[in-house]
Amino acid sequence: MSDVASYSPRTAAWARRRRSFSDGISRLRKDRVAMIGLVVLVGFVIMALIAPWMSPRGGLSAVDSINNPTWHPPSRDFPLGTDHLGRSVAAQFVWGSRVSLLVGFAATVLTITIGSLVGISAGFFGGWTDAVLMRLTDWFLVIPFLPLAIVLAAVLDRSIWNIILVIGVTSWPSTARLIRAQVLTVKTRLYVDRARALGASRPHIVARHILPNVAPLILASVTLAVPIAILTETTLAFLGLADPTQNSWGKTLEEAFGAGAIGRNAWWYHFPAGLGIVAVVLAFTLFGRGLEEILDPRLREEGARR
Amino acid sequence: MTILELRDLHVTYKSDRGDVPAVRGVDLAIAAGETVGLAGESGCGKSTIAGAVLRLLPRDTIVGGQVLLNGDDVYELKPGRLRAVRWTAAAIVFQGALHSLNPVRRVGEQIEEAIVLHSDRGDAGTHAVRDRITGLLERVGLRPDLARSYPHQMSGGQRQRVLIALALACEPDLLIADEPTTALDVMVQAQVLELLAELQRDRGLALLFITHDLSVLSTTCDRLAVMYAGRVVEEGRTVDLLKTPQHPYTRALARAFPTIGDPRSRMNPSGLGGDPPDPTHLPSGCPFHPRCDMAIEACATADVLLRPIRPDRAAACVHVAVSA
Amino acid sequence: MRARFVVGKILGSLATLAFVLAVNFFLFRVVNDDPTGSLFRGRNLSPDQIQRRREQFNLTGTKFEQFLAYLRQTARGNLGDSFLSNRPVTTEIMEAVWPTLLLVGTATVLAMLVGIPLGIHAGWKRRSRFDAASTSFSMFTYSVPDFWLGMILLAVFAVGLGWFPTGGFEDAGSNATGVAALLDQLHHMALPALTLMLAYIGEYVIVMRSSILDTLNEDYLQLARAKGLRDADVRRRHAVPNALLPVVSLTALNFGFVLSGAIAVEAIFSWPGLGQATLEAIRGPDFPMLQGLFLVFSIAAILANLIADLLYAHLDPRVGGR
Repeated sequence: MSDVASYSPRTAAWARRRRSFSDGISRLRKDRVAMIGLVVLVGFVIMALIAPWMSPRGGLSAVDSINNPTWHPPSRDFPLGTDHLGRSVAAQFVWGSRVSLLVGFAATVLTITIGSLVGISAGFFGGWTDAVLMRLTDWFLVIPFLPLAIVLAAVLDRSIWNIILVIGVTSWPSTARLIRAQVLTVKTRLYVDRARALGASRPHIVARHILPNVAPLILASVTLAVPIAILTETTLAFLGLADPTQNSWGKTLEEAFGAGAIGRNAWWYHFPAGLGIVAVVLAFTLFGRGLEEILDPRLREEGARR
Repeated sequence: MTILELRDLHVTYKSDRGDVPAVRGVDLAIAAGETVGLAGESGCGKSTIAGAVLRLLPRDTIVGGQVLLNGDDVYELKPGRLRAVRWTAAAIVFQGALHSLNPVRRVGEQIEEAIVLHSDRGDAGTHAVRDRITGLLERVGLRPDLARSYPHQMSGGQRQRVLIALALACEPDLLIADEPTTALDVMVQAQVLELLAELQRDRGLALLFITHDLSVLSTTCDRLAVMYAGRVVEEGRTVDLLKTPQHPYTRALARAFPTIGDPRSRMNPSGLGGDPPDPTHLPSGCPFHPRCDMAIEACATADVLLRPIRPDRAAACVHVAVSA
Repeated sequence: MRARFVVGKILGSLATLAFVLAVNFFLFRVVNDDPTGSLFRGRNLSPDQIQRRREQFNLTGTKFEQFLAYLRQTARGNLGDSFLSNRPVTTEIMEAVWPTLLLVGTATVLAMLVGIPLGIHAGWKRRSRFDAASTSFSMFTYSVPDFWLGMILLAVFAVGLGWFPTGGFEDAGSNATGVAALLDQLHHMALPALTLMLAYIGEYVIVMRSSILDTLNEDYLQLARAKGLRDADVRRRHAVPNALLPVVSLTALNFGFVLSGAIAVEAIFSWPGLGQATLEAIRGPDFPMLQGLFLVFSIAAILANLIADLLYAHLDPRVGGR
């Protein structure tokens, strides 16, 4: 790099990143499975966004549904039937996607933020900071995740923001570990040392050198953290720890089970919500795997060598 | 008697980026008791040849030409026959002894496995087999009790010796040593080379010695073949070839290491500029011409195959034809 | 394994235990400023009763004194009394441990026995049709909420086809003994165990497969092949022993989740185990019970973690300073 005068290392690095980015995009587009995942995802996100236009919120209220037939199988008026209170299951499905996706995304943002902060600090500062943070991370990794989330949620008030908080503060450790490992790799690369030797400040090194190299990994972690967050919300909601005023898919399943949908063979009540969860989680996982394969050089190697 | 004969060997790997022609027409013969050196930079196809001899390349690899081991075409053998030939007709001392030994099994077990597989000497654990392992370890200069060690408990030199003992386990006719000394320090390197030379003399083995380090070959080999971009570009008797290299590539390699007792060569350790070519995008004409200090206009368009100079000597360069 | 290694690991586990105890204490008493508020929420208690509860839960004195009192009490095996039954939490938990251990243990072993060979085969024949099928199957079961899977199985096989009972540990009022009782319990366990097995299997397949893929490029496999071993023997003697190492520790770790792994599924099948107890404690809310359950779940995980580390060191000659 250094013997080409018109080419500063920084522009070279950015050019390399841009190149590998567009290279990555075109690889991703060739990955059919990942693309199917993406399309399904976009579909659900659109559904969540336009929920108010697709089905009026009143459909979720038992009072407004007082004149509807109860336990009604799918029909023209009720494409997914009605529940034990006469509410439209279709409306619950549409609105449920909103809550499940919101919790999934918001909790992931929290998870990734905490995980990245801990991972980058531990990896970058090293020494006792690293020792303390990693000890804490290990403790959180050992404690079974779901019971911790349950206990936390049980102590806090039932609200959608507390659910997000609970998922966020219990699921960051694996992200922190992943990011720390990557920071250590980046740190050992020559140019960080060189930047430090030239007198660059620490924030400068983090912003210019560490972050751009860790960003792809953070992105991949996001796509793999969202499905975990959605599944956790579903379980917490099923156990009765969710916000009673918000209809997530997990909440629908809880109500369906509690109302005896299974004994009544009212498959239309519990089947759509479960299928929605599976579809979204699977879509995220497939897209995330595709992304990871492109962003993680170690995984790419496997495909190339054999 | 000829042990190994390669006839117009071609090897093409399949990869995401397309076909990779790693070996592009190599002829080579090794007789019993003979040591032949195969030299070249990494990526020139020399290690591929080691894999091709025992059919160890990835399944989708395209192999053309013939590989004759004791007269049998390896690529015509039925699976059972092929397994029987492996390690008895030819054995390989792989490069990177740490990774070539299975980390979770004792080295004795790994030697035993080969012996039991290929002999009717008896089953695992019998006296005959144990004596044989002891004999092999002693032959390569290791204490017999090291058989109970795991690879990570040994030094690099010891592991390399274990690999050699392992290669000798079934008394092969041909030993292929693929960079056997690369990872070792100079002292141990010399010991391992000495050991290989001894074994070769004692047993009348045919030895194919693959390395990027010409200085290693100069003392051990009867004949040398220099490879570049999947082809042999020069071959001949070792002394002859090193003293009067004909191909500019050989000349550059020969210059790169000091000749003992020649003060001039010490003063001028001129290496070679540039990188070896990418096998997927080989230069037109003679593949060496972009790095050649003697290239003429024709080199960019006309490819040159090996040209015999005299018995036992050939090189692939336009200048050879002109001078001969 | 060196003694130092073992002692180090045990000390590490004790540190984790101390952390769990601290979390367990502060979560219930500090997250909310007024611990009585969170501890006794939803319960109608007279001021007198509240005072008695305060003493019972060591809510007198400074936070630090309270913590010490909690540690002393816990060390004696006293986890307080359940709000719902007024019986000691320890007794309640002991009664529920066995059904959970039986159910989740069986499901874990079955998932391993099926998942590991599937993963080995898929990895060895990577990109084959078998690989594609088993990987898709694993990804699917991985994405399904386990309790919903349970609901579907319940709807189809218990309600629809009537092949299995809809829940419980054994037939109500049954006084069968011996083989008949065992068969009855197995009959009740079949659906929940199948649910959990399907939920767990994917992880084993995926981890085992990627572990096999990691070994595929190893030089020692090349050497084993060069020796003249059959493909099946290269796989059995060289690839699998190395690839199993990470899976062994995964398995040990998963046994740490045996107690807490079936909370929602137990609820679906009314299985009288720790999961069911957790659900009831949430609904109560029965905080002493919840606290005790969390402690037990965590101790199981810590123990499993320790065993996983020691087992790994025992199996992998490179670890543990041998």
